[in-house]
Amino acid sequence: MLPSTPDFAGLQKTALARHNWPTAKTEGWQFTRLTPISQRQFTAANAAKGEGKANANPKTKTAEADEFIFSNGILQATPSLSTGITLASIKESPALLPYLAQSIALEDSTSTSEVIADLALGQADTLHVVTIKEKIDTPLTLSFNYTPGDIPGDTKGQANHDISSPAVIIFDCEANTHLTILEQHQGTGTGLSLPFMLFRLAKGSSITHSRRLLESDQRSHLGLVMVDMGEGARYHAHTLLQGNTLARSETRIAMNGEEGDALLNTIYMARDTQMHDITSCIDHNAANGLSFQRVHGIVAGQAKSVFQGKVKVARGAQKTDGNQMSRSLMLSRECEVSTKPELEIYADDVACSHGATLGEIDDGQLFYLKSRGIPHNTARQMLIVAFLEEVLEAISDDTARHWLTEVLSPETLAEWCAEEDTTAKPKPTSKSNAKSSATGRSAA
Amino acid sequence: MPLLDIKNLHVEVEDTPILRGINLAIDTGKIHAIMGPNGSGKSTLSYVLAGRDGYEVTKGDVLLDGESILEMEADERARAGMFLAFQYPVELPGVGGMGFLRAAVNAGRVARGEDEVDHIAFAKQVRAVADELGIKDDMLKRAVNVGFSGGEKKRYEILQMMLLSPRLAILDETDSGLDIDALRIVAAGVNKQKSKNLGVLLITHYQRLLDYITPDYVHILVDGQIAASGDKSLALEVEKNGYAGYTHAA
Repeated sequence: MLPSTPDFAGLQKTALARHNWPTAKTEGWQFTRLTPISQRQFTAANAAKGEGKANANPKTKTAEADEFIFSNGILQATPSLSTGITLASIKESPALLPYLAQSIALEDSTSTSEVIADLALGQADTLHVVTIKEKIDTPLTLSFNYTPGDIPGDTKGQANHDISSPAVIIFDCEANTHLTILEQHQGTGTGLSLPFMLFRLAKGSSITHSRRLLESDQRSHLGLVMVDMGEGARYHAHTLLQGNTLARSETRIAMNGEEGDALLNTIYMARDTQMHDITSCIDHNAANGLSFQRVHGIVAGQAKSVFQGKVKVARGAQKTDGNQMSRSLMLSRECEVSTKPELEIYADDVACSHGATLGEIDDGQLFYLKSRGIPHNTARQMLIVAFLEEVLEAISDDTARHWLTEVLSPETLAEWCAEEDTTAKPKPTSKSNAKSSATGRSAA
Repeated sequence: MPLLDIKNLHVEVEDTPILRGINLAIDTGKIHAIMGPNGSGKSTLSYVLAGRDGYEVTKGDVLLDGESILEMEADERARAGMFLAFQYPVELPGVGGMGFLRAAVNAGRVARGEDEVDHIAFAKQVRAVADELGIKDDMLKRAVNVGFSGGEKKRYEILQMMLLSPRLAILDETDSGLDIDALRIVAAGVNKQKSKNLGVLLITHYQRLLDYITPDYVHILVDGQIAASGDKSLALEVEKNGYAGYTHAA
């Protein structure tokens, strides 16, 4: 178990020791097969670096002000930072170690996040601590770039051996501070990205966290965001997931102070044989908390997607308002969507709701557009874009919305929408069998 | 040659016969009203003319300018000059109103080999027509039909009709859900288009609309067949005596 006075090495050792690839029997991993990565061997990029290979230090652009550039998970030269932000390694902030140890030693030993936390922590060369002391106007950019690389000792280039890119960051946000984060992942190769971020939000502090996950479709990504919210704290995340052969984006929020405000907007776009997994768990541990999750996914080809979202309301967390809505648009007959909304409520004066729908493009809507002369493919594209637009429109933060919309160019979308034309189109007169929907609302 | 010629049209929905031999010819600039009780096949007629999937034509033909349209997709029919004002306009969350109207108008223009509309000039045109129909600016900015009242949706249908300038409009119960003021405005819009040689197939439940849009012909649709045809006086008679005299049982 965890050492009583942990040091970073000790923590890493523990993480590595308890790490096992989850299987279909592991809680929280029933729907997501890890076979693309669990049968391969990964060497952390930082371990490879020592061998003098080029892989760990791909040429990247120089970091600009308020930008962190990570190459295969390794932080490059430290940039200049706005007043009010500081960056340190965990060696300089040892006081955070017990906090970290406590955060990942989840009471529930089968907890899903353990896997990602352990993988990232066990392999990272350091742990970065970003401290926020003021309201910061300039967004902080986190650019994660990945490149394929040689593995030391693997001169024959064995296919089953690749680079993993762990990166662990703690954001320590002091009271009444604010930071906007623009986090982007991109790159090629067949490696595994392992970003693990932990947010400690003191009273009244707030984070707007926009994320673009745009890695090439051979890469895998297991990402974990943990948020510990104090009184009146706010965490708003807006995520766009497009890439990877296998990607899991997991968010765990513990609302430990009253009047917390959490918002998770997510768009995912999976096609070919991609597998996208959006997992969340929001623990309302204090009264008057608000949480809202909105997940829209489009799934094409033979892609698979999973949404599993849990909202837990602890005894005493009265007046909690927890909402969750997931919708999936299935663009082919071969794709697969699994949704698992969960509510666990131990307080008697709360309003919680969840809804999940999955279906094809609505015939009635398509007919309406076509009846105005709009050709079939254009009409389809308008409806697919509209489905994504519903999430984008709901993002009130202009910076975040524009930044995410930027990568959804008309060309990108046209390419997406054209996809189905190569696969069997449902017969116009036949009733859709794949269509189903379920909504539920419960309040106690 | 009539603008639209419906010849002995038989239509089934999921193997159930709904229309059983409709004959109707509509000339340019003429208004034909179709009245009938619930379930008589009025909406089926409008959908099958507009080209909705799921309606099987088992016999007969529909000609537009002498050419059969039955093999044409809904969008082709629209670009050929047909327009359906929906009884229940469909909400399109996330589809912005202005972009939608532009896409519709441009689809027709591109098919005719014309340039796409200029954004600014088009927006001006839309606002002018919207003004005539009492459609507020804020409605134009919203997603199509989302959050519109029943009456607003119907006005929005007429707005689309006026922008697309079709040659044949099928108005499916456009009067339902409209208060008297809205009815007047909508009727004025239709009458204006009629003066530009629009042919109209007006499907309605009640005679009320016909006080504002004067039909050239009135047809009574019962059990998938036209049971009687006449002029406006037929509508008044039905209003007074009901459809009982036209049912098969009678």
